Formats: sequence, C-alpha cells, structure tokens
Amino acid sequence: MKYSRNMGIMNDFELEKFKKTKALVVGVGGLGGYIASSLVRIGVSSITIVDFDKFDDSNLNRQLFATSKTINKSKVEVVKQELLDINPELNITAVNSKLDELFDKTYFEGIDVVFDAVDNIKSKVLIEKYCSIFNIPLIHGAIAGWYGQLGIIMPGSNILSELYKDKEKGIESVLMSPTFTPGIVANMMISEFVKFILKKEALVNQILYIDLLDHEYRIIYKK
Amino acid sequence: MITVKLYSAVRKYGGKEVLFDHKDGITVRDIVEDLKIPLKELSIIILDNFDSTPDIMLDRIIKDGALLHLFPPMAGG
Repeated sequence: MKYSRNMGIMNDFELEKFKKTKALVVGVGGLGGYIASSLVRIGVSSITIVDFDKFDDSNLNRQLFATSKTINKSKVEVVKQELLDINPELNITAVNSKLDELFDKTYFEGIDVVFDAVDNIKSKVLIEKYCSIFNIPLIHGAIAGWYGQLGIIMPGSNILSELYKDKEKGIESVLMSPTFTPGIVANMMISEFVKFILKKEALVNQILYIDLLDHEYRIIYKK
Repeated sequence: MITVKLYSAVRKYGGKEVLFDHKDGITVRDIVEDLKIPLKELSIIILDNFDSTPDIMLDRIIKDGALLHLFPPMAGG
C-alpha cells in the first residue's frame, strides 16, 4: 500500500488530511526539490511548484533533481515529471515564474500551506506578505554552509519582514550551500509541516537555528 | 563579566565566544561596535533569553553576568 510506512506516525483519518492539503512550494532548487519530493511521499496529492530557473552545473552538488540529464532544463518541468513518477495521480501545477511583485498572486488562492524555499531575501519577504493576504501558514527555511533555520510563520506575524529588515543578502553569499544542508533543513521543514497538520506541538511563530558543525540547535526568535 | 556568543558567519569577528569586562551603562551597541560587526550582518540578538531584532536590542543596557547571542541573516534556499 502506498505510504504504508508512514502509518506508524499517523492513522487513516490523518492520512486523509494530507491527501486533502493543497501545498505551494516556491523555489524547487536546493530546499524545494527535497520538500516537493517529501510532500508527495507523505501523501499530499495537490502541489503547485514555482521556479523561473533552469538546472545548471553548479546545482549538481546539492539539488535532488539536478542530474547530467536535467542540466539546462526548466526546474519546474523536471520536478513536475519527477513528482508524477512518484505518484502518477498527483494534481501538480508547474509555474515557470519568478516570485516578485509581478507574480500572479491567484496561485495563492485555495492553498492550505506555502513552503518558502527561495534563495533571496526580497522573495522571502514577498511570500510572507502574500501568505498574510491570503491567510496561509508559511513554512520558512533558509540555509548557508553548515547552518540552517526554519519555522512556521503564521499570517500577520511578519516575522520574516522583521528578521530581514534593511538586509540585502544573507550569509549564504559567502558560505554557499554544501551537499547535505538543503536535504536536512528541507526535511526538518517537512517534519514541522507534518506536526502542524497533526496538531502536535510545532515551531509556530518560532525560528529554530541549526548548526550542523557544532551540533547547536536552539530557538532564536519567537512571537 | 559579559559573555558574547557569536554564530555562523559573525564568528569571523571574534570566534565562538568573547568575554567583556562589565562597565556601568554598557549597551549591546557598544559590544557590537567593539567587535566591529556591521549592523547589516546582524539579524537576531538574544540578551539573557530575550530575543529580538537589532533595532529593538542595540540600546539595551547589559547587566553584569549577562549572556549575549548574535546571529546573522540567512536566506539561502
């Protein structure tokens, strides 16, 4: 049976909740590739993915769907096909677009949860703004080198606009993205999403900081 | 004594931990300036378990024995 190995942490009724959840993943590179894959494998059956980019050589070290065969191909088209290979019945919408002021915000309509997997501050703050407008919880994640952060941003809390106020770029511009950090942080985001749907205690309006080098994990911001 | 813990990229300004002698009226801003950390490289400051952003925290006066944590912004995806 599909997803049967997930049934140790949820019952049939709870699995139905995931099947009915409509998720929007913005960015399907480092974090987003793992997020999209895990969403399908946890049982989510309706996913919209957004990205304007194509895979290139520099993505091969860490992006789940970057392979020698997908270089120069549209990320959303590649990821769409990969997700359909996992679940052919998936309801998938691929949006080849940047998340900026010109983005068609109607893609946020009817969405139950949004995943922030973009790689720049401007888009992260915009996603938070759109999630507040459409009253959607946002699963935030960010990575740089050995480090990551994640949390669930509830509509109106404006946590990201506070954390990134007057900032143009983060430390990833120096520390970059090694092989393992996106997969770890992405699946911690999925874990928080699962807890949130199952109404367990999750990182709601809290930011968890992760230091994989020195094994430091602490909540660094809460509202 | 004041203990300042630096995280990820701001460790280049002093390593993992820096100790400061306490002075009356010393603020978070004094510590940040002493370490020569540009404000754009700070996103979250925690002083004795109270967390907030630099604009809220910089002018807070630090008590003797305090623990200060400094975090940079992170936005990779």
